[in-house]
Amino acid sequence: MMNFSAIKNISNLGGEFKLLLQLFANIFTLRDNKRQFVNDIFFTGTLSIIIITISGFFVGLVLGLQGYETLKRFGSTEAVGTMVALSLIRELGPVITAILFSARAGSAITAKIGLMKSSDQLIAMEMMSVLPLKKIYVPIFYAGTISVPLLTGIFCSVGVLGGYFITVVILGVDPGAFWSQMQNSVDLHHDILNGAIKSVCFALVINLIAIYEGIISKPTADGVSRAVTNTVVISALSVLAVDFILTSFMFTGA
Amino acid sequence: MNIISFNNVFFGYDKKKILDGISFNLPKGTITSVFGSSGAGKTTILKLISGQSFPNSGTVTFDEFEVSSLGSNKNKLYNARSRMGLLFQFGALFTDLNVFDNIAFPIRENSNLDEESIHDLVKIKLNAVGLNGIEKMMPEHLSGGMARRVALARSIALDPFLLMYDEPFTGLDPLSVQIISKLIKQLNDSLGLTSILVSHDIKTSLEISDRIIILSNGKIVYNTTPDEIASTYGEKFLEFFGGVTSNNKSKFMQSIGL
Repeated sequence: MMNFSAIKNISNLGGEFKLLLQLFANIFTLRDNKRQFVNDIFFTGTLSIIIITISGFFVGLVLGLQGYETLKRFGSTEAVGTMVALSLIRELGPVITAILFSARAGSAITAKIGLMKSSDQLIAMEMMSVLPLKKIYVPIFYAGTISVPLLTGIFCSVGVLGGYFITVVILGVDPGAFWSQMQNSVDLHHDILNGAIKSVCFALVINLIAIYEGIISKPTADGVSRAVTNTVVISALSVLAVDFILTSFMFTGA
Repeated sequence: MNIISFNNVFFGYDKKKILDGISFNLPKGTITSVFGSSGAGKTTILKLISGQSFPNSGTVTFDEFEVSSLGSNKNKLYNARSRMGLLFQFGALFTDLNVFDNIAFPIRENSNLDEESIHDLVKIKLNAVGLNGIEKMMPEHLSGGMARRVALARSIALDPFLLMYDEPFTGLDPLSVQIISKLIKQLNDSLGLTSILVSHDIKTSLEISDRIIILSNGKIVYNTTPDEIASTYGEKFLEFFGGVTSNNKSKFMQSIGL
């Protein structure tokens, strides 16, 4: 049983890697499917804006509140802006956005592909000499990969506003100090660029997993529901693991 | 002239044998029905013709293509597929496209026609299946019979030589069954197609078929015409229907319209 499960996991990894190569190799087919690509940006990105915005605001509120309470002990509450911004840009923004995206859009991608498979739509497409890879997987993969970093940007921005609201408007921290400390300590290359690289890496991972789980789902109601669950669980774990690896390269020893 | 030729085709998964050395030809312009109990390999025959599966041994030929050897030549396989249409069991319409876009899909993907010509072509195809004014409807708003007819219109969008039907009557009300069966006959004759249908609805299929093939245990036990089977049915034929003995066979034959 153990061996069987191990073999299955390794073969899934191989399958995902092969799919990733195919997705990279077929990037130019996007030119022929612009309409589908735009629809998919709407499907994965635009429809995720609300959940990302609201979550970002609340995370900013909590960070501001926690940061204020901690920094107050050391008499440096004006540094709360720095703390909120760095926490969001370096870690929480990319990670939480990726996990929320996989729950909101990744699951939808898997369900869509799984249902298309179970209702013979994918085979029907192949019967019309159209490859699902070019028509379905490539547009949705790149749409998702573009959406995640943009959503991360929205999440971090709204989060900073949430932090500003709770610390400056409610708790009375000086607004000038809040912004100037943040401006001085957030580095474009070291913080923002690394955060952006993280979110692109997460985007590749979660969109790949979502599409792959849809493709290998069993064509039954139970099979599709399992595939959707797998997408969310595997994506969340992968994002956290990839985050650890990236953080260990990006933010240590500098 | 034969559109389809199966030559000593063996097919199976692991240790399970599905087709055990079958050979047959489908002459141009005919409608052939394939019968057999569940798991007899009826749908497998359609999969082998369309290159969704490939035989373990033997050859499958469609028109000028030896489909069974095209596993590694996707371009040629797609070229062959563009000359055949397949009506899926439940239509397999694209659920996020409306009726018009569903029928236009294969035309857009396989030709460089302008939108105006595509529009006219879709109208013609919808007319051919007796539907009008439903272009903007989404698949979920169509009845089972209508969805099947829209799928049929999509199958003939590229003017195929061969049309395959996988259980075309399943899950339909008696009136829709009649409409679909008439359409199969009508399209075959008016468009000069060759049709092969896999069905459990023996009575309806026999009414429109020129030839019938009966599969049992992976072999063809009958490859004949409906008229011949009526006069020469034997034990194997009766066995296939299960529970039919020589005592009640005349009553049974009557009930399926023979």
